[in-house]
Amino acid sequence: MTQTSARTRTFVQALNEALDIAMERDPNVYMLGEDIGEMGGDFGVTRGLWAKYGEARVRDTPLSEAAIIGASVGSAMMGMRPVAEIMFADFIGECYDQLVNNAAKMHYMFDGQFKAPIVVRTACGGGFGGGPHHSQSVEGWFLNVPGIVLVAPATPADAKGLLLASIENDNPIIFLEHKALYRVKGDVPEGHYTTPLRRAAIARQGKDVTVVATMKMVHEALAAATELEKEGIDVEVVDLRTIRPYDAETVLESVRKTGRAVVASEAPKIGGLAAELSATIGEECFHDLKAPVLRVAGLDTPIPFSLVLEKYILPGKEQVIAGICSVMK
Amino acid sequence: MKLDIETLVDLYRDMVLIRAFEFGLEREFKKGNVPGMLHTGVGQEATQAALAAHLTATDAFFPDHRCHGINALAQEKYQGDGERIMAELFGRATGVCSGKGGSLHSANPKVGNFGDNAVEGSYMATVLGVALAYQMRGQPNVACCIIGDGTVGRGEFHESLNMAAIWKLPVLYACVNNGYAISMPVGKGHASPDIVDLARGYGMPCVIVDGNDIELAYAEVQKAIEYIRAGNGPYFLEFKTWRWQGLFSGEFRPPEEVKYWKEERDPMRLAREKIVANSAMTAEDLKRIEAEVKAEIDQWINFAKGSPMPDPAKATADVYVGW
Amino acid sequence: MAIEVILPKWGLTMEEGMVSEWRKREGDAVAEDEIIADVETDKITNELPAPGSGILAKILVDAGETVEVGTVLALIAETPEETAELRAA
Repeated sequence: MTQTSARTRTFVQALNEALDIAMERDPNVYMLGEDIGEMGGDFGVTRGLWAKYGEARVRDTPLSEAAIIGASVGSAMMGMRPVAEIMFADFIGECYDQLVNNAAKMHYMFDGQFKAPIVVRTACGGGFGGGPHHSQSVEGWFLNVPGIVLVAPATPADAKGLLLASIENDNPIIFLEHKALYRVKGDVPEGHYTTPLRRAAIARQGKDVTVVATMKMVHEALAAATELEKEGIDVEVVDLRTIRPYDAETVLESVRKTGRAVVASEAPKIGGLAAELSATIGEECFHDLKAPVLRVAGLDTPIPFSLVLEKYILPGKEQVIAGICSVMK
Repeated sequence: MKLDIETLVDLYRDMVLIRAFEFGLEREFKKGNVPGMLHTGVGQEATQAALAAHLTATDAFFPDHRCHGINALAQEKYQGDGERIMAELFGRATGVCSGKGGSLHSANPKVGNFGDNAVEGSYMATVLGVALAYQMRGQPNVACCIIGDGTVGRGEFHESLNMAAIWKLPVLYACVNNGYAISMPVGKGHASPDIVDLARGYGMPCVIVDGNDIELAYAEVQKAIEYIRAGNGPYFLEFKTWRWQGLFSGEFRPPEEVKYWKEERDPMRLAREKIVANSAMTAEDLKRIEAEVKAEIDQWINFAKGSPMPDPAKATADVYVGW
Repeated sequence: MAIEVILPKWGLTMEEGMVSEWRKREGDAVAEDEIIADVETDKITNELPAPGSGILAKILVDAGETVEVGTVLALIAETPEETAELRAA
């Protein structure tokens, strides 16, 4: 860690700083994606970098997600450090094979002879009326894929530190950026630093119940905790930060301490991260639990357009509070 | 153009190696000694030998599922241990991927073999990145992806050709049109039976090559690679050829078609005729070469069969780098 | 009736923006669709066109101030009388 002082920055600015620092430090780092050049990306994350580093290192591509990820993988096999942007996580189906059958298996199936150190940044999550194809939480699509790394920051400081750690890591990484967090402000240390991958953070210490969450749900959980403090319930919030492979140790340690667990995830409940965490907690902490593990997750539907409908199916603070109250009974 | 006789004989030897490799493998497969599936490149030897002859160890090629031969040639040429390709197909610890890859995923970057992705066509996207790295670093190398006609149906075909064209990437597309994607005839599966018709719109040179004529194939690959190395961007070659292997259930193609390709258009026969007609070498001399190569392949098979199986504990290694 | 110049929502996640520069001053005549200000979001800098023709009677948000989407940035009057009224208010 070489950071000096922290300043207030948005999540987007923090990501932008990380990309700038990574490009500055390593000539092998380059970026590719749709409209990331002069336009600066659909969410402004790559703003200013095209002007600073030129179009050879900040490459605009056609709408060819398979080619974007394929080119990333191929160049990574050659020792480059590509950072690809898939504008919306929902589009990742177009390059699913590249990620699952190529990037994730490369190192394994070729017996360690190749590496695919790619970072795929992508905007996920709902709450904006983006509709069925601009709002999804895709972590579940990759949870069952050995070899893939899923990173999911919740704060501006982690966004920067985790992105730098991801770019410097040798594995293929899908870097999830929840759209609701882009405008969130927070203290961000200056200069280069990394936040460790595969390490959860205790976002709030508490003794009565553990809420395990990621991305936007971390903020919902913290808001729920503040409210429940008035009722005398002391909530611990674990921010998973890396979804795959995840930090089971920190999660289990917290649950053993509190004896109660709520797993909060924006994705549909069935077969997702909440289900996976719930199963692991159940297997490992059965005798420490004072109540069954509870999942707070999205309803099992596609994401509807109208904000009223969308709000109905996505979990928020109220659902987390209800979940906590239920396991506290 | 006429090839000098030494080069032609060397190429013939390479072709003999490919056929001997595939026949030997098929024999062992039928005996149950080779696990998994088997797709052979018999009938496509001239195309493979021509490509292998021009690609250097610092170039890259992505082989397709019928490319055991080109994999073995590169392995033998640059590391002197072609038997490790055989061992890989037998799933042995001595294989190039220690048995983790097998027939459809044999790779070795030291010889330029970037490995097959058995979702055929997938590596049409990957090849872009290798070419991009060459371009960004100013290296005069070629990234070649060898695809079948069936692969042309995949979306990556179009994404790849388009991106290679707009970025002028040093990619050689070697489309081995053997007439069928498993059972689907090329003319029924694609808008044109000539794949170059589909490629031409991307603005790169597109050439149809007689893939069974070693002399022509060698010359066209040379031309393409010189063009790419000079920094002109991608190049598309379509080799017209025919695979001898039928389906698992047996032969499905019309008998007259089978007879035509196996007899009149056999690339081995065509090469032999050229050599005998243009040199002092006789059919007997060529038989001697065939016997030598076959003996070598038998040794490779013995090496593979005699090699240890991988340690089961290795099944969980290398899922992640460094973790 | 005065025409309200509001900070528009330009993108899916845009919540706020800042007028980086007023290109017109109070009292200037403006035509519909004429660029009257530059607005910066954390994503882009964009030009803000006048929503109608008239006189830029009153600027309510100074350059450099960050405000929420939908905030009234200025008022355009359609007549001189209205201009005087708005400026007095």
